[in-house]
Amino acid sequence: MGKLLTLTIGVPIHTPWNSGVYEGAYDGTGVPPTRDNEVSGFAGWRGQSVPIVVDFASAASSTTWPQIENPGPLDNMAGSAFKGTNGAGFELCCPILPFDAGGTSGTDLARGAAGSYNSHWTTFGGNLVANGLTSIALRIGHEFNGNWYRWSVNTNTNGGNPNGGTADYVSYYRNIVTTLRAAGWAG
Amino acid sequence: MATNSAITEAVIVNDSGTNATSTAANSISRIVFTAINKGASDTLAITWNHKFLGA
Repeated sequence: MGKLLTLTIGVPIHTPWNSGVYEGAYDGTGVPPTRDNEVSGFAGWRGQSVPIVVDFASAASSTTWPQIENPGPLDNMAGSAFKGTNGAGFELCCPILPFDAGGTSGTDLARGAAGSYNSHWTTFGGNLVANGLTSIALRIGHEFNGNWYRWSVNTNTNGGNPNGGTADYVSYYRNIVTTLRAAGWAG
Repeated sequence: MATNSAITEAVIVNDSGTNATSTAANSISRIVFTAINKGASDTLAITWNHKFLGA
């Protein structure tokens, strides 16, 4: 069998993607040093820096609009060694509908699509600016194709309210992005 | 291609009938390079990277 000869012509053009880590619970007092140490430990273990750290804003059964507007991790992310330029070192998963104890808070994707919740996202955008996180990556209404979050486009198991379908999710998502950008988010 | 020679040129052409650069108009991309000595049983794999610019 002969040899394999290779020849590459031209320079491959691609944008490398960030490879990071999920480090939850950046909320709480005195948190950054502990969480940062854990991220540093992971970086040392894998022998590669961690350009992006993922955390989740609370989406538990008692998430309120104030908690969506100013999630716990924000101020701690602002003080983290992994913040990067204007928060580019973080990715935050954001709930887009509040929960209440009964899971029936009277909010839904259709109202979001109609713009009823834009003021909340203006507030959230202002908090991003206040914390120097204008370049933070946001996972808005994450895992919408499941059935475990209130913003799911499927009939979900959290309170049992049908929350609208795909079209409402898309319209609401666009409202959120437009509103956040108007408030100063650079994403 | 079962050649046994020094290869110094690679061309992408659109005259599939002859597989040769009969005219420059049939050449899509061409490059010359320092000779690659390919034996008859060797395989030469060429990767082309093209950047297509918008109008």
